[in-house]
Amino acid sequence: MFEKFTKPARFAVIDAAQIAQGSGNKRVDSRHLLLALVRSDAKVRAALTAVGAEVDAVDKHLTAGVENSELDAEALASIGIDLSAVQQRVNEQFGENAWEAAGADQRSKKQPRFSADAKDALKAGLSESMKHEGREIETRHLALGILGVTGPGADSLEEAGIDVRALRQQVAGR
Amino acid sequence: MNELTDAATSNDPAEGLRAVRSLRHLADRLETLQVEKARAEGWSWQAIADVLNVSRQAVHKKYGRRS
Repeated sequence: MFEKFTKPARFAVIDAAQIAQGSGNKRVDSRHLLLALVRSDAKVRAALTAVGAEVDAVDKHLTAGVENSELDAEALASIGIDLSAVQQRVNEQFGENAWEAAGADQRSKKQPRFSADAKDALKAGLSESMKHEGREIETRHLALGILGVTGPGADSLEEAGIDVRALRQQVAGR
Repeated sequence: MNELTDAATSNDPAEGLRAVRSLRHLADRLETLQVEKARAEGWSWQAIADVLNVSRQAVHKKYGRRS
């Protein structure tokens, strides 16, 4: 399937995998794919601006989501664990930045796999390119695929108050 | 505080499962810190393994290549 990807689209997928691995995530999901595009693709950035979103703020929001996905402070609070208190204690006991350093140690050396929603997004990207009789999957097809499936990618955008449908139409050039 | 207790007693499996996943990750991170500290203080792999109730090989395999 990847042989049909244009170079930028292929790089975006590779970037997404690196973002996931760098954050200790075992799966590359639609949020990693989206973040890779937000960071590299002019069309996606322009579309975000067109729907009234600030690109840097979106990048930050997605990055925070990716980095905290293994440790969900809200879910831990629901069983009575105050994550920020644990973090503070650890850094008091083990020295400054010990918490962060241990997090880096936890990162797997294994290549992360694609999550179900990421696979759906890639497949949707493929059908987008076929719809337009394209032979290649470009970054915009990939973006349309990501924005067209339910998953952490679209969910994060909604959390940030972005109208995903409007954004998708922007990317499609409608 | 009410919100917290509500969440804790809610029956939403999605939140519960996220809590479990986060707990595992948290336990792992604390284990990393404690094992490194114990080694720095001269603990043997066997002594660490005994407290963690796992085999010496398991601890050594997981942490031995570091430092």
